[in-house]
Amino acid sequence: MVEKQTVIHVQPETAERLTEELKVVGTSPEMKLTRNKVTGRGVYTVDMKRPRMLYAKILRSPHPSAKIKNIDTSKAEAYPGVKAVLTHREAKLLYQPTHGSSREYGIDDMARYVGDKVAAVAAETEEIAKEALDLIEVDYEVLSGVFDMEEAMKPEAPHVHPERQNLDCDGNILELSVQEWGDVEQGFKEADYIIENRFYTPRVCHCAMEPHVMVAEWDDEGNLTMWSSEQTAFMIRDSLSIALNIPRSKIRFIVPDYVGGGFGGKYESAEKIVVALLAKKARRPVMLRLTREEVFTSTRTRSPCIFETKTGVKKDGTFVARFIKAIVDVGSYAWGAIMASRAASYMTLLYRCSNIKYEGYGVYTNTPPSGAMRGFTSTPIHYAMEAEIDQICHAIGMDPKEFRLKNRLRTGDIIPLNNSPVTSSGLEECIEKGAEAIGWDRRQLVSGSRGDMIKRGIGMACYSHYSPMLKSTERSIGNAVIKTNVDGTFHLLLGVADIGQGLRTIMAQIAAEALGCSIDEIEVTLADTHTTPWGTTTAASRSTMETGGAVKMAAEQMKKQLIELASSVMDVHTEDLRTSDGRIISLSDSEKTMTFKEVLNHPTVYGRGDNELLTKATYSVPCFISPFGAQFAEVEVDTETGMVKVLKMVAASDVGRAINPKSVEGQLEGGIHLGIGYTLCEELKIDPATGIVLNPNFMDYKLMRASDMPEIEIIIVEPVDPNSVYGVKGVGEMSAIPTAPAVRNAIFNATGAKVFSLPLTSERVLAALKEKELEDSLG
Amino acid sequence: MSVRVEFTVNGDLREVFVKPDETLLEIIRDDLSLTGTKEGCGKGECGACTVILDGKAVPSCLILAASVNGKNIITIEGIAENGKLHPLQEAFVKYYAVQCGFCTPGMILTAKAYLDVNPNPSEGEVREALQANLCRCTGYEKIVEAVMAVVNGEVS
Repeated sequence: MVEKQTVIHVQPETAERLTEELKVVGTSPEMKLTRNKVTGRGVYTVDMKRPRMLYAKILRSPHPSAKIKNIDTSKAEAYPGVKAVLTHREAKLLYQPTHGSSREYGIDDMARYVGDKVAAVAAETEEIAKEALDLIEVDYEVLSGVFDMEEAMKPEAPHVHPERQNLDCDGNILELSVQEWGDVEQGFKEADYIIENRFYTPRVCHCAMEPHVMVAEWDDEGNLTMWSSEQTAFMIRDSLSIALNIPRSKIRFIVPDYVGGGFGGKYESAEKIVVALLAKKARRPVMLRLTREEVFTSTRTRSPCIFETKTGVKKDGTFVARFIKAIVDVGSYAWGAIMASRAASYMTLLYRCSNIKYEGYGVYTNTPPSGAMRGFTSTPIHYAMEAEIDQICHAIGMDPKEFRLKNRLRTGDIIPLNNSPVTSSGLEECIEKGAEAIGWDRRQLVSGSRGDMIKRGIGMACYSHYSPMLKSTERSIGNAVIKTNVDGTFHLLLGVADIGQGLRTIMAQIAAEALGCSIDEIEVTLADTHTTPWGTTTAASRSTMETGGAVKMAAEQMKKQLIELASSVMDVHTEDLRTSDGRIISLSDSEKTMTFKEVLNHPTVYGRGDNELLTKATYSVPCFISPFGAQFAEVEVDTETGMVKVLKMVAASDVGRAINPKSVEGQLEGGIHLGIGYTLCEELKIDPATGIVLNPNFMDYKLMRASDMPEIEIIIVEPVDPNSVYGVKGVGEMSAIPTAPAVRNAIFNATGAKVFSLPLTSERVLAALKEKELEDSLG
Repeated sequence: MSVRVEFTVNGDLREVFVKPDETLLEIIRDDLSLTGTKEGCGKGECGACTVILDGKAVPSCLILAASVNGKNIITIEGIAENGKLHPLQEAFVKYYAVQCGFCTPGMILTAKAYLDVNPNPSEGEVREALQANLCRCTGYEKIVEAVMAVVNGEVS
């Protein structure tokens, strides 16, 4: 079958922006279900109680690498109140994560990190389950572990996955990805300046405020229902179907209406197999809720990375060659061949450069598992790339803003990654408006000012991102179903989940706009594999583009059907009818009008049984649509202590079009919170000798608090992309991506100190200041 | 072994038999089914479980249930009056201060306890007052904005 040729529209940067008269899109109505959140009415997964529900606890390995030689659960099973105990003997079912090529087990007979699953208990109370864990006797054969990614790459290093050799890993190398565009060696020959650096980015955690929690329940006909605080219903259901070897139709996976945050941390866990099996064995519903400590030690994290960069530029600041070698510590479990390869994309999406090469290694270590996190594989490499630019600018004496403006991709430029054009770009506008907001012009005055010990500085960084997903096997598809009620109200059924970012309201806005009614007439049902059409993950800043596209299509089809019905009832030609405010109105004679309700209740319609109309649409994002943006930071560095205070952040983002501007602001502000934490204080620390997580709590793993946050200014830039629904681009992850390099570059501007490793703790800043002093004294 | 404890929750006198090591959070959620109070860490580090105990915002996960005999407790379910939301609740809705909503009950109760004593704080003081409550979604911007809207009488 020949694929339909997609027409890609490129919008010249000077073009008049598309204008449409929109009533609901572009407004910020009250978010759906928010009232239930402020009154405590909203039922989160952890608030659920099923009849006769049991509680589960997981026995976790104290060793970073160990074989389970023997495991005796008899005492735990005999303990009063215990209803089921599970070990690898029953739970060694192969689980395939939602992305990539990796495999893992429900419970394996080998533990690969401190905190890995060894056994599970379901009991009448959590307390009993916890006590029963102590009665399980495990005979471990303790093996040596490896905790450092560079050590793990050595041939003599112990294997994290000895049984997967020659299947999907080689030693501890899960993935080796070499990607080249142009000829990077030739590019370096043409360069006037070559600069080389080495950057490190830390392992961090999502810290969604609701810890991971799930409930499993079977009926007596072999039907499994699961509720889970999750970023996807369908992809987890599909993984479970394979692992448990039961048809998809027998698994109802529901993401409740209230999910306490995700950020990439809630769409993977082989624990769901364990809970499903416990519930089956006990013949009772089972809830597993992780403690905050377990969330830190035993759920997926953002991979620590090492980036070795080499960049060649001309005297005038033109990029001629860029090379990055990346080592990505994927921990004990990962998605597979995506963890290291994806990062290459970002070298091609933002700036013009004819010669680009990326060499990435995904490396297993005996540390907590890894997965996606806001700006998956993008946030770390952007730090290295954008910090490198300011080092280059310093070397050639060029303004970092001018450098970025000069090298930026323009609309119409072909993106090397996928040979498709940049279809619209608000990047220049983001840079100029952001620069004005931060006061870039006073940068030279500000630089180093404010007294002897306290130095001020201003820095910036840009981003693009890989969203939607249009490469490899991942297609960028959304589905939507709309049906009517006889009273003229609508149900919108979508397979994607609202994890707090407001998708439910955004989708209702798109539907309302296309139908010609208010969002109050539209109720949205999400992420239930038995009642909604298939939906992908709520991740990668993709939902508004993908699912939003399907919503618009389904709504337009619905509108067409309503108009056709009205046409027969009103005896007016369909061409002459439009919809507005829940009514169908004749264009030529505005006296001729009927409400949706009147149409659906008309005797001729009702009699035909057409009072419930139903439309379904599948939408595929037609081409790669680049999100862009620029972020600016003003900082104060105490040169005596190395303490950094971020005074102000400006985030200027090309979001295509803001369906809901307040919600866009909220996404960008939240991304800055996560980004500043990544920059200044967040790091999950692993003891290099034992593999134990040293700071699995909010006292030692620092999140920014309200009083720590800088002043934030959000600038929304809306070039309105000609290819996407209402011109939207992804936004959810964006401001998290350039925050760290913007702050880092501001510190460099303030003090001249070159910091390379995140987080920018006072120790690291102080060390960089000392180094700078030494350099200066040596002349 | 359990202890009889009597206290007022949202205006109602309640009697509960509690174990010596049970926390107020457990009693509120499990015995009284007031699930608007959330558990984010169980160690008093995140503020999600905040309730107002005799006028003070406290993390209910650190309070032993046995110690609240005779005390007055307000949870998120208890601050709307006759179906009318408290101004802070109204402001949180209006100013987009809520995303996932998991920190929201604790955040609102901390703000309420603070404003009940300090009705006219500066923005900086509000930020200080909220620092025991973590939020991962909003960057606190719109939360602070909502609280300041109440301070400035823009929401009633």
